[in-house]
Amino acid sequence: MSISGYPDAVNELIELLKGLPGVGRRSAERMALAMLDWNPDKLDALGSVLKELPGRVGFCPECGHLSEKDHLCGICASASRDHSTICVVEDPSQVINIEKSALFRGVYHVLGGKLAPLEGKTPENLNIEKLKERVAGGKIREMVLAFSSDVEGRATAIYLAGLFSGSNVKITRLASGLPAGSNISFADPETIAAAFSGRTNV
Amino acid sequence: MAFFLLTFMIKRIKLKDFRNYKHLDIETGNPVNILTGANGQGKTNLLEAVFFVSMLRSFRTSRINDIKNIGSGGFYAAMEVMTGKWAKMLEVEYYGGRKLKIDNAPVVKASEFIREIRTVAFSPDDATIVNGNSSLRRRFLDMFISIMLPGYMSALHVYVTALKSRNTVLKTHGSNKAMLEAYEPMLAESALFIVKQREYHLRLLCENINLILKGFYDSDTVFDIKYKTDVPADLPLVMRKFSNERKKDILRGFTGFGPQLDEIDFYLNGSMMRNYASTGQCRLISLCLKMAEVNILAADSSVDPANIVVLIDDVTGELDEKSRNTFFKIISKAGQAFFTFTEKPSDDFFDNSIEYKVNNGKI
Ligand SMILES: [Zn+2]
Repeated sequence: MSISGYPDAVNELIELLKGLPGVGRRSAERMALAMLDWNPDKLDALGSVLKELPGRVGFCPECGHLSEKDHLCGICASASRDHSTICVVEDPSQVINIEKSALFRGVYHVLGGKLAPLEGKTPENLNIEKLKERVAGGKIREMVLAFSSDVEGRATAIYLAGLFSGSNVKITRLASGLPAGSNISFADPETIAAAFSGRTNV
Repeated sequence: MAFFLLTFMIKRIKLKDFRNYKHLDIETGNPVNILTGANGQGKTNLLEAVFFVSMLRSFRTSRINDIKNIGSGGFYAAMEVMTGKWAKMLEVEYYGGRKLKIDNAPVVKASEFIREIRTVAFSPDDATIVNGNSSLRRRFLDMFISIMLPGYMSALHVYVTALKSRNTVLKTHGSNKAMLEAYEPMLAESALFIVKQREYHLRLLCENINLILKGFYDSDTVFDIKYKTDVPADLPLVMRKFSNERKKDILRGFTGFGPQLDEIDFYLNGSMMRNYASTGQCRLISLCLKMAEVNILAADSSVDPANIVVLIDDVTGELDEKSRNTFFKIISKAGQAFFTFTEKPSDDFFDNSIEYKVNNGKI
């Protein structure tokens, strides 16, 4: 350890925590110091959860949502969901948030991002091939595009609408209940419910 | 001459690592404020800070990195402003990314932040708006319309992001028509809005400048602005142009038309200023341009005149007495003014002003 700094182990922890979104150096320091106060059992539990994370969590082979490793997610596995209506979203946090509104009874498709050529996000590195496969399977009747209304979200929606315009799938998008530039991940359940009930054709 | 308004905008300015201000915290509780001191001490830097907190841009540079104090990791600038009955704290932080706060609450959208104060800066560099290339006039105009109409800034942002995206796709995925098309409706919509607003506000500016010139000269000096755009007149036409030009766009690797190529030219008595005007004429017209901005803002019913702040960086020196009086009369429409001088001038206008002596980043 340096004469005036933290011990090496604490520094390493701070460096790792700093890599998390929204965590700056100072909050990382506070978190690390708080963990030093934890009892060894709790630290052990945290350690093993982290260690098992990659082995236990995977992506649903059907929709791309987070799931128990090598298993369908709960939504795809459920017989009570409407498997003919598919809601296409950017990332898993949106699935979780839309589920909170408890209004949508269909299934999802998680793209793993939005079309953003400026950040190197192009159709090849989005989960689009699987979506084509699901549509080609013939069971999908409606596709709801639930993207934010920023440039990337709008471009992704237009791109997908164009891609599936020749199919028999009815393509809709959420009603304008969501404020411009807003992100579905942060919208409240009422807003999401309103947006779903008023969806419009693309 | 006095400022007629009892309320005024900026009560306090706080800076950290902003240009040559390591730390500054001053009260600015007066309508007319004069910053005096030798050159290079930081008078203009303070005006720049006021402008930056109001507009989230500098009137001197487009490079954010130029603004931070040399050797520091970023900068902080804040102002306490009166909007209506309450004082609000506006804070801008640039350490790594940009953070905006109003009364401690984070603000995500710039267009929301710049709604608080309407600031017009007069700078000796303004002559380049008149004699420089069209991009400088577009930049001036875009900033002016953003002050008048905060939604304009959002439209510009959408346009620029979509344009950059489409240009990247042209270079990397030129054959993917669906990907190119994904940006075209957004581009068309925002381009039409931008062009319409530019046309309208240029007309306003032009009329107003002619009125101001009459006050200066009583003569038949005629000022004119010619605006040329290759954006077609309506949505279906713009969309058709996108599809007609797509092949050419792919070959050249960028979008070949749009408001980013608009040409704006100023004419004085029939001759194009950027080619034929003297330095003096360019300075005068640039001054008129900014005065017109103040006039238009003050006449706008959606703007509280108390929220208009004018920053005057060393531009009145070469005006004769009559022109000076016209100038002071127009800027008196604002709620507050900040001037820079090497020493306090003798005009009556400054009788009730407060003087701040600027010396090497300290006041
Ligand atoms: Zn699934």
